[in-house]
Amino acid sequence: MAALIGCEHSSTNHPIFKYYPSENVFEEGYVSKFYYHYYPDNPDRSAGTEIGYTKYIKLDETHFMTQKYNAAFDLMSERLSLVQGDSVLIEEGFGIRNFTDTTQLNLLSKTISVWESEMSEPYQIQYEFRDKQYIYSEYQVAVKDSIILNKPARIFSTKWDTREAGSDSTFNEGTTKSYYVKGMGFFGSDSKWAELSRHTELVEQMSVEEFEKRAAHGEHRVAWIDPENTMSDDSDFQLCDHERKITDYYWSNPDARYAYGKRVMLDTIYANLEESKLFNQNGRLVFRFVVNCEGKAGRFIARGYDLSYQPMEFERETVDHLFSIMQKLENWEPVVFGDELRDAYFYITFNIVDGEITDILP
Amino acid sequence: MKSQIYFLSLIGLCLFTSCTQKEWYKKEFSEETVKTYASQLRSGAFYSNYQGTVAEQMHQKEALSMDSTNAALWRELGTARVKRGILDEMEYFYGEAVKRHPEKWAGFRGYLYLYFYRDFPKAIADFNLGDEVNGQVDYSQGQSHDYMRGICYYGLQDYQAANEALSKYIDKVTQEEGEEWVDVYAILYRGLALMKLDRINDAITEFDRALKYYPNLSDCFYHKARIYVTRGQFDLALMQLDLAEKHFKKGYFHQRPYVEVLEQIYLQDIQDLRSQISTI
Repeated sequence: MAALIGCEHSSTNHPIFKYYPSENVFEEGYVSKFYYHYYPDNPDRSAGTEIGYTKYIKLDETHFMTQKYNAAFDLMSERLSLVQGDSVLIEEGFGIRNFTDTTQLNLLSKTISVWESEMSEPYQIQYEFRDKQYIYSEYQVAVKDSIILNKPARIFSTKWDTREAGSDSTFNEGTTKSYYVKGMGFFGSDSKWAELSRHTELVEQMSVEEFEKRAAHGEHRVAWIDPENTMSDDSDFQLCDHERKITDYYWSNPDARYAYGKRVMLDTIYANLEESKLFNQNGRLVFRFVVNCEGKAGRFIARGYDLSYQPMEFERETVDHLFSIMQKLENWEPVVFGDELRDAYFYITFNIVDGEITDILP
Repeated sequence: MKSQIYFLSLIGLCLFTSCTQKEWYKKEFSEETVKTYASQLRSGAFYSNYQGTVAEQMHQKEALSMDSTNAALWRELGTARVKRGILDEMEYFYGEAVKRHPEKWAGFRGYLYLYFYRDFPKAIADFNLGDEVNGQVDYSQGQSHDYMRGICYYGLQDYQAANEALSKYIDKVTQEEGEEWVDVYAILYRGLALMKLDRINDAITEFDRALKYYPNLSDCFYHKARIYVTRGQFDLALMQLDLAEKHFKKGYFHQRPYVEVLEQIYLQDIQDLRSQISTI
């Protein structure tokens, strides 16, 4: 186990900054990787761990920025903090849901922590969820000194609750202990609320440069289709929403499918099929594509697999022929997710044995 | 003088180096903790993320890097690939899961070969492997391997073997728990197998048996109608088709999520058969 060290220009006497990394590290920015462990009270339910990253950058003598990222390194929220005496106030911030939906933080009371005295009023934010307004309140109950990793540490005890705006009765409440270690910043926390405990554990710290390197992973969702490398002419094909929000055919209930039903789809395929163009081949030819929220298909790609599920190349003429038939299937049921029509990935597999189509799936 | 400059430069270089090098905190875990966390990451991956998203996959891959012996992690990486038509990666990840824990995943992979790919020989091989390593006829995804072997033989057009495997499952459940606990679709498939074997009266008995437990199952009415048409009993056939259509439109027909079932019926099948009768 190694401690985060650097050139020591630390704010050793500052009541708050002394618990953060040295000034030059903080000004350059650093990233902490956390495991968020969830432990249900019910022993029959399994525990789970989420990965998250938090980036901290000191902007000037009194401000620092905190950005939270998920395991895919997507930015999830941002907070601008003001250090005023021994207090930390959240000046502004936002959260991001579904990759693109940004909501500004509605701050009712900004002081989130007081490091050397008592907090006079709780930190409060108001937010909307399913057309209702809620207020989250966080009360600092106690702060005390401790030793963690043989270093001076500060432990904050807070109580928090959530209530519908205008109501006095809370429907979710809990407690949290947060740990700050000298020279390391936020070290983790332990929270408890109804039927669940959460232990936030610092697992790693890194430079912003290292974080950016990891964030440039180039990974995409499983079965992503690169719009720049499709076999279809997609000049008229438009997504209804953001690329990252394309879902899958099975998110509808029942599964989304060809608008006139599978029987019509099969009839169309078989009516146009020229078996001679299957060339006595064996394997599975999979066409994957996107159906937009209007039921229009585009972004087609084809992948061939042999009967052992290994990649294989089908005859170009076979692929082109089946693709030309696929293009005759013009109307698809768009996926309905919640109440929303969504763009979605679909696929059609042709099982081909000895040059005959034996199944068309799914 | 020259050596002094060299010495001072060296100090400067050392200072510069020490200022630019940082040693970052990294927690080390015991072997036992690593295995526990790997398992927890598999579950936690879905708290905020949909299956197959980058964030979900990052959890699974991190977990796998911590404990590559965990078969459930390999299997988890295969799951989104099954649902999204990425065959080679499905085969790879499920292969790794079966290699590590065939007791749990052989039958499960067989279930996938059956329903997602209609690869009946491979499905049967996996059901056999699962049963062999478990020392009994096992269940995967809540379905008996005998039952699923029966569907596989049906798909392979070996209707005698299909009838035998389905009957083995149906009889066992009937004897041990009661007929009402038999999966009604196993009875439907036994009826279909018997139709193929030209044991038509037995097939009707099976369709009626299925209707006893699922009175609105459109498939049974439709297949009975087919039988009545071949017998020239058109009035009876039309009555059955009316019921088949009525219940089909309410969604009471054999279907599965993600994939169609073998011998999937469509509304057009019902309507086409009625049209066929009207032209006779």
